[in-house]
Amino acid sequence: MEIKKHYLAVAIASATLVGCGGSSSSGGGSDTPETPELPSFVSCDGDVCTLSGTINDDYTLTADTTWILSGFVKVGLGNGGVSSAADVQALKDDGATLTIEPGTHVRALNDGVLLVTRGSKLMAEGTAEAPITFSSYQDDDFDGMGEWGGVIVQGFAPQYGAGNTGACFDGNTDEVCNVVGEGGTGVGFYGGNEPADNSGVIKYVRIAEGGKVAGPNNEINGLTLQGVGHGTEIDYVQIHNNLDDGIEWFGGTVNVTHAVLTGNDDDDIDFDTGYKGNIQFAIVRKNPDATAPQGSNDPRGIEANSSDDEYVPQTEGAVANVTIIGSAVNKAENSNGDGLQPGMRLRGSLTTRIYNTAVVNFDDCVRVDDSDTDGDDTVDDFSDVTLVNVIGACDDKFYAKRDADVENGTVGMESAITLDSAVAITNDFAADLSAVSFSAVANGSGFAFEATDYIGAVEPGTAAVDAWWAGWVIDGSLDDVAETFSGNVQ
Amino acid sequence: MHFSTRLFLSLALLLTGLPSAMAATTVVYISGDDTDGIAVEIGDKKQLVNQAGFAIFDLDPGSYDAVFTQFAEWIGETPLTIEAADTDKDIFVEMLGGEAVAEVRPADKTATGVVSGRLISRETGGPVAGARVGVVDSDIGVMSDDDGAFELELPRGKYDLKVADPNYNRKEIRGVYSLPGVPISLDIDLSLAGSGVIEEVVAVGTYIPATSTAQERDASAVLDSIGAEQMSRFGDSSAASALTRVAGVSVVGGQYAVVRGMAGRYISSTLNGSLMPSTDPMKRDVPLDLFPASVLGGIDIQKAFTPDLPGDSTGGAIRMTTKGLPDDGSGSKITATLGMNSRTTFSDINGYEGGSTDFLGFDDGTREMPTYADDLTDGGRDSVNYCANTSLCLTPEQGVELSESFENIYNVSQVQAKPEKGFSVSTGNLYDSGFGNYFAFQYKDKWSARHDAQIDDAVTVGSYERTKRNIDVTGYMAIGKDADNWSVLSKTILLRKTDNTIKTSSVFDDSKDQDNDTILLQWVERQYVGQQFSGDFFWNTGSVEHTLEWRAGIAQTGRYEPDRRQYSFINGNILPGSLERRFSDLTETALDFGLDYKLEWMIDDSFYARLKTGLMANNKDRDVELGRFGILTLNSGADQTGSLEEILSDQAFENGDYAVTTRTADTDNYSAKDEMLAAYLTGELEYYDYTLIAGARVEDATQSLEYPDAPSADNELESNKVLPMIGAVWRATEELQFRASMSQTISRPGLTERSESAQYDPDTDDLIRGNPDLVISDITNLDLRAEYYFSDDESITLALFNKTVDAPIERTVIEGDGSAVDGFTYQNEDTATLSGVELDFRKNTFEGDSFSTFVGGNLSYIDSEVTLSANSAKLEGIETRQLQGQSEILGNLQLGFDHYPTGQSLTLLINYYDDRIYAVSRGAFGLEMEDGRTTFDLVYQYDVNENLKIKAKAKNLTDAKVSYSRDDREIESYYEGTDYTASVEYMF
Repeated sequence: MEIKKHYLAVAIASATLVGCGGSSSSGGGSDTPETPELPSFVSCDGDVCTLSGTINDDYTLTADTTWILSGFVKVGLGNGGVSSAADVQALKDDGATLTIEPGTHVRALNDGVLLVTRGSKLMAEGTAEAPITFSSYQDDDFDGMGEWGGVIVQGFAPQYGAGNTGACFDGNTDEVCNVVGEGGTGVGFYGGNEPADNSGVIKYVRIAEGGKVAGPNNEINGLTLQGVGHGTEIDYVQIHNNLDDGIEWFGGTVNVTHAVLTGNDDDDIDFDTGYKGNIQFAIVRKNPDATAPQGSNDPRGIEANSSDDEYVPQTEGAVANVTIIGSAVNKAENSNGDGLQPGMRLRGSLTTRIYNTAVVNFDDCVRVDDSDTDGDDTVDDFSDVTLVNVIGACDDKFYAKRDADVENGTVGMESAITLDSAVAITNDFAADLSAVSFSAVANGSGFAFEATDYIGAVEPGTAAVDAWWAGWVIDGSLDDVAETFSGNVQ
Repeated sequence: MHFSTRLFLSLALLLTGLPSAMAATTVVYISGDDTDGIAVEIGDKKQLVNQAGFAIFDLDPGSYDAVFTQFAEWIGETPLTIEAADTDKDIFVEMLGGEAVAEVRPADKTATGVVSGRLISRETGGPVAGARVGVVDSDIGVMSDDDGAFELELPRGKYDLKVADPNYNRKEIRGVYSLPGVPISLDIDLSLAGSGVIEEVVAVGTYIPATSTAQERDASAVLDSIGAEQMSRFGDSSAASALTRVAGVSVVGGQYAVVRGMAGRYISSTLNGSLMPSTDPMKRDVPLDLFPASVLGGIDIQKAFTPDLPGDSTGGAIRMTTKGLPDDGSGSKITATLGMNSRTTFSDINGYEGGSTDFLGFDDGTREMPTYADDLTDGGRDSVNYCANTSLCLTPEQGVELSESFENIYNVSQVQAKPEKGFSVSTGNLYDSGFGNYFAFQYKDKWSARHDAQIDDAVTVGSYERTKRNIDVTGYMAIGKDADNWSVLSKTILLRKTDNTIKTSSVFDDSKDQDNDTILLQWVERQYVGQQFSGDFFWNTGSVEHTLEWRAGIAQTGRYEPDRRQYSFINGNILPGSLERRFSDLTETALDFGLDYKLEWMIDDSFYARLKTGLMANNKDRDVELGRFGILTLNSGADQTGSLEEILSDQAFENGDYAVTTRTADTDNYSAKDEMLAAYLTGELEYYDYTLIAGARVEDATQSLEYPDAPSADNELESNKVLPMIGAVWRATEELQFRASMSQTISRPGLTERSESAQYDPDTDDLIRGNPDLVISDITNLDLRAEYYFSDDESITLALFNKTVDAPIERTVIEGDGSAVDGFTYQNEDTATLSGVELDFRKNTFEGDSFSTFVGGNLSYIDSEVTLSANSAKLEGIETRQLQGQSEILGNLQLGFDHYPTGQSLTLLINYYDDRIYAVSRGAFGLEMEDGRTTFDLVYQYDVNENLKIKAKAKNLTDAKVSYSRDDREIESYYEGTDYTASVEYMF
């Protein structure tokens, strides 16, 4: 029996070894090295510095240098798997902070992606005068699309599975999560049960021309927020000409205010899989010159949740003061003569409240879908949609399918809606509304909507140069926006 | 009692024990019912008497004592004097009251003996009348009577007999001894089908297992066998189709076997005893369609673990053997085949511009990765970037040259599907020296298509068209020598299977309100090249027989998929950015070495012991190289009208509108190693009607995975396992026996399943994320089987089994989001239990003078339940389900009809498999099921004369629909049509 014992011992030893492994990090250093010696993830040629690999130490990108993203640039190692609270703490302890100075221009090679992993932070705090810009290195303009990847931020906030499989942390030791995200093989894991998680600050940041990464199913969003907590601040952000969505939230709780979403090939505001948060002041403008999507896309202004079997009843978003301006790109027909996209598609058994919002130049303005969760052609789970002061000027119907569950104030099609060059609605019905209370999603952030008495992203009567977007958005991205759109009042 | 190995050895002695010219021949003949275990020792020579009661000695002049023993116990002796080199002696021994009473007579060289026997059809078990039985190289011969009986009167001596019948394959029986006063009886079975030149072992004197049924009966473990004669009779073209005839076995996707409800990871496959490399980048399983019937000598499916098998033989071990040396003489065969499909042939199907040698199954370089692209991007692994800074990006000239280096072929055209055609040639020789050889070559060109293919899943509705041209090329060579007590064999195998697939799909995506059209052009060359050497050596010490078998082999598989092109349209608008050109090349090299030693010992009259021990070393090295290329739109205003060939013109690249870029993921390239060292020991003890078997296997295995571009995802798994087995056989009567066994087996994670990173499924592009925490599953197996034999080829068996899998590895839904939501991962679930019952039978229903009929078949019922881990249960939305790929009910029915006077036979084959899980689903969504299906095949054979045979086959007679469903709603379906093939075989 000696042989057996020996083998047993080795088997036990090897089994124990198998359980080990995991990540290690250099840890330590919290200051950007002042010495000329560069960290391993930076290489410079004159005033052009290239970032590659993993930024595992705190680092600052200064405005006097052109920064190049080469390949999948990760901040921290938080996208590895975790199996206990200790693992989570280790990721936080080892986390790195990437600081970007105002006015800095980060340019990406075609294969460039910036991934901020959980436990690490992106401190990108620009100013209206000196915004931070991400765009491709392929050319100097901002006209391209899919010329690089995008910015992905991951956090420890909860995510809920498609198909109502519940919170990612359910049933796991120490309520940890390892959700596999989209964006290629390098994206790794995110999620947790920390709604207040903080991934840093994204303020006065412009992200242009992204949307493509290596691998199949390979379009990614301009700003992807995967399990990002409400400790993170996202305010004054523009996503321009992205091949996929503008901003997409996968779970998480982060609130976003003052977003400018222009020329994106897919949806602009897309929140899914248990996102619980609030969005106020957003301009969505489809590319006025595009006639059909360039990618595998179905462009809408707002898309919330996915359909039917991928329903997530935990998703809850409150949206206020959004102006959604369509173009021919969302009216591309399929062979049946339909396939024209609505301004908003609200589905997958979500709960949403939309306030003081306008949709123009789409075929239909709003489409609400319920969920046939088991494919038997009957609705099993309903969406819960509240529209308050939501108006439209669309070619066909206001509601593509069914009405909202709750309507309040002025809701429905207008015969015409006129925008001025400040992207404010000039029609009387959009201003001086009787006061309504905006009910924010209680995600723990204490977020309170700014009370507005007007419909749209910009207060009527504001001069273009005084609008909140003026001065920092990409030049030309909101030019020639003044236009009157007619609606099909039935 | 049946000790098949011993019988074969004795037979070999008889056949090869030629009288030497320099010595006198002494023939010992022992008569009596119980000659089992009798050995004769004369001088320093000792032999067991063969089953017919003979032992033959070549003796130099001198005085001897002939000593007789039975199971090593003295039973008698007699003095013997050989006066001169030419004085042959005959010793007649009669068993009287357990004692051997011998009488020595000088051989009367003029007296005659009688050799009689009966000719039996292997297919029907009935007699073969009117066949000529003659002595080779002489005019002597007789015809068999209505009962198949014949009688030849021959002078004392050793003869080679030849049996000839217009309807049956020729047969030679060598070394038949005729002894005056000793009636020799031969039962000779003839085969209608079979492989002509290459015949199975002949039965001499008494019952010797020759057919698959007999092989099953004599195995010490639960075994199902498919012989070459069955594959031929049932018209099976590859190992995959032959396996579906076995009880409890189904084949998924035409390639991968599921044995007793257990898929790939629970099955081991060997070729001539060696573990094989695989051609599947995501699996360790061996795709069984790669092995054509033309080179297979037989397949054993052993469904219960014995320690001489790989430790992962839980559901079963599929042991394929290629053809060996011919059993008699020499002969050649040429076969030509022509076929058509009721739906496909002559209809318009998808095609595209290929290479000039496509018909050979070799790409001529048209699809090869352009050298410029390969050199510039390291096979697609390096990023390609476009910008003005040439230290970080390509120069414009490099960009244009890279882009233009690829063939501008994307368009799908309509071509007419051609008929199936094929030919094969084989030749075999066996010389008197024992040296033999066998060569075979086969070529097949077949076009197939899915017709009326519909998709109607959750949010997608539409149709697709998938056409495939398949070219098979097979080359085979076996050379060897059979000597008195040793043999050596060399087998060289080349198998190639090339598939040229074109799929165009057009679906409406309801969630996106869009038409999605996708085009796929795919060329896959799969290849197996192997060289094996094997041999055996046997000797006796007293009443102990020893056998040593060895094998050493090297094999390499390849899967070469150059320039897989896929692109799509949305609402009719082409998307140049959706194009992916993928070049992949998998190579796996396996080195295999095995040594088995067997000892058989007749301890006494009631005890018989057998000891087996062996070593196995196997080393597999796999390399996967993959490069993806795509299109970058450099100028957003670029022209996007027309076909993709027009859009991606040289001009467009030169204008800077578009450029080729790389899209290879960092986990696309990997190398893996799989090493195993195993040793086993089993003991088998027979006591009267009982046999007890016990043993254990020790397996030491290491598997490792390395990603050159993503080293953090590397993985290694080491294991040392001891796997015990115990079993018993009770032969209640000659006809009835019972078997029981209990064993422990394991199931290892696949090579890439423990990867820390994500990969893409090569067929579906689904994201597959490995699980580095996967552990090896332990399985406890219980087997019971009762077998009842009506005759040599009629039987009924009933098998019961139960398996408990601890921590079974299952492919399950991933905790994923966004585009990763459709991905899969692997998980150790809590437990899985499986139990089932299998019924297997064959009965000759009518045996007449001119025709006979038989019915055979099997039915299995398998119930399995996987208890999912908490995480899988949460994601799949269910707590328990059946094992993936497992059908609850599997059935086969074969009805055979034979007409002797004209040599015609007709067989109807019916195969059924029940619904089985194709893929698991998220949340409330039901499992994706492959719907149960019944298929009918008809095989006709006509032996025109000794040299010419005609075969006709209709497969899938009812054109049964292939369908998949979810929650009882059909989500995908298509038809494959009925295949009609006819072949002519010429033997000479």
